[in-house]
Amino acid sequence: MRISRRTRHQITAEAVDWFLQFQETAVEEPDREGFSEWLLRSPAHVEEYLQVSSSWYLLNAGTEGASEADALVSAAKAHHENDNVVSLPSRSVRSAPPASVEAGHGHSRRTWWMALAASLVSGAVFITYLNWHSPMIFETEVGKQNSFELQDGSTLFLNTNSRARVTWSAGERHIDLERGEARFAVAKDPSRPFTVTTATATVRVVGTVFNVRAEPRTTQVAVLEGQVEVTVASGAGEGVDETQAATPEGPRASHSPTIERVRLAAGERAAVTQGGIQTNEGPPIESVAAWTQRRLVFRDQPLGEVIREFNRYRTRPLLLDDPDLAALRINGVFDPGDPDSLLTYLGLYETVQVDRRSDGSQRLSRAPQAKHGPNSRTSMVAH
Amino acid sequence: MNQLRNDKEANLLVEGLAQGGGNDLVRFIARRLRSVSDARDLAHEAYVRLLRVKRKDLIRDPQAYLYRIAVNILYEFELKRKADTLGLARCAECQIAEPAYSQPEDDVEALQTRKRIEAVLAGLSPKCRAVFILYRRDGLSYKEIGARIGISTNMVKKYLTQGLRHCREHLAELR
Repeated sequence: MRISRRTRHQITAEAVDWFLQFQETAVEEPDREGFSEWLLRSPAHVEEYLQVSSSWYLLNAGTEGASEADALVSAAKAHHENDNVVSLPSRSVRSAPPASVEAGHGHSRRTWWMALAASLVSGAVFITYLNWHSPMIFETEVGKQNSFELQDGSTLFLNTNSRARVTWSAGERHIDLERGEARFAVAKDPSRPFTVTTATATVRVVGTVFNVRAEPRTTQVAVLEGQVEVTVASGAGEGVDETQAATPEGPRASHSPTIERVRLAAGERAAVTQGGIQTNEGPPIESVAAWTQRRLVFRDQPLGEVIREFNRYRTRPLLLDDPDLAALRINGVFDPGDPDSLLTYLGLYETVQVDRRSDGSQRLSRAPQAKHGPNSRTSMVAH
Repeated sequence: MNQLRNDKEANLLVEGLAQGGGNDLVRFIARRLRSVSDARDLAHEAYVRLLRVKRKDLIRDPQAYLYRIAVNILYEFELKRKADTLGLARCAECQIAEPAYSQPEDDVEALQTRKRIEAVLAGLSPKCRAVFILYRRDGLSYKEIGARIGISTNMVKKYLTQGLRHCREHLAELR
C-alpha cells in the first residue's frame, strides 16, 4: 500500500506548487482547469493536496511562537547560503515552479496543435493530388493521431494504428475503416450519403458526428451528434476465417433473434458483430468523446482492460499475465501520448512491480514483498 | 430514519463551514486527518467522488470542491465510527466502558503537536524560515518579503515552495 518515495516527492512538489498558486489568487488567476486535471490523476494526488493544505494550516500553530519579523529578517540576512535552502541533511530536490509546469503543459498542447495543423495541410495536399474516383488512404502509426479535412468539408479524425480508405463518387461518400478507430464530423449533403464500412458494419449518415471503432469481430458505433443508421455488413459472415468460425459467438451459433439494422441518435451507441447488433454496448460516451483530446478515461474498469486500451497506443506493449492483478478496478484519466502515465500511477503502489525487459517491453507483476497481495489494494476500487 | 437525520445534520454543518470560507474547511480536515487512521481511505473516497462531479462544476472552484467533499466524507466516517462505538458499548453493557473524553490529554496532544511543528520549522535555513513565517504568519506579500530580506520575488517563491515541501514531508514522518 505504500507509495514509492520518488513518486511521492514528485507529487508533493506539484501539490505545493498548486497550493501556493491558490494562495496568491490576487497575483495570478490559478489555472483551474489544469488543477482539476492534476487532481483527477490519481487518489494519491488528492491525498497529497489534502496533506499539503493540512500542513499549511497546522504550521500556523508553529509560527505563532517564532521570533519577531525583524529578528527573522536579520538572521536571514546574516546567513549566506547558496542554494541550500533546507539546512537539515536532506536530498536537495529541484522544485518545479508552477510557471514551468504550465509552460510544459502549454508546450505539449502547442506541439499537438502544430501537428494537427500540419496534418490538416498534408490532408489537403493529399486530396488535391488524388483523382476524384481513386481511393485515398489515410493512416496513422501506433501512438499517433491525425486529422484530415475531406473535400466535402467533412473531417476525419484517426486514432492510433488506424487505416481508412476514402472513395468519392457523384452519388456517395464512402470510407472503409480497415482498422482502428475514427471520428467523423460529416458535412451535410443529402444528395451524397456518407457511408462508413468496416468488416462487420455499415454506417450511413447525412450529417453528424460519430465514432466508429473497428475491432476484428466487433464494431462499436457511438453517435455524438445527429443520427446514423447502422446495418450489419452485407458481406459479413462470408469471409469468416477459421478462427472466427470456430468461436461460439460466430454468426451461425447465434440463437437470439438478430437485429440487422438500427437507427442511432445522439448519445446512443451499438456494438455490431456478424451475428447482429446490440444497442447500448461499447465504451461509455464520455470516453468515446475523450480520445480526440488525448485523454483516456477509465471508470471502475479492470486493469486488464485498461492495459489493452493503453497498448493500442504503444509500440511495445505492456505485459500483464497475473489474473488477480488484471482484475483490479481502475479509476483515472490518462494521457495516451504519455505512455508512462499509467505506469506512474501504478508505481504509486508498491504491490505492483514493473520490470523493464531487454527487448524494451515491460511486464507488470505483483511485487514479491507485498504482504497482503492485490486484495489489500481494494482502496483503489470504486465503491 | 436516524441515518437520514444524521446526514442532514452533517450537510448543515458542512454548509456552515463552507460559509466560513475555505480556511474553516481546511482546519476541520487538518484536525481529523491526524486521527483518521488511514488518510489514504479518505483520499481515495474523495477521488472517486470527484470523478463523479461534472467537469464544468469542478473547474469552477476545484479546491473548494475537494475540501467540501473531504469534509463530507470525514463526517460520514465519524458518524460510522460513532455507530460502531455505540454498537460496541451495547454489547458490552458488560465491562467495556467507553473511555471518557479526556480534555487534559487533548491539551497534551496539542502541545506535542505544536512542539513538533516548531521543530520542523527549526529545520529550515534562516532565509527559508524567515520567508515562510513572514508569509504565513505576518501575511506579507512576495514583494514585501523580497524587499525586506534583499532577495528577488522569484527567490521568495522558491523558498516558500521548498519550505512548505519540507514541512509537509517532515510532518508526515511525525504522524
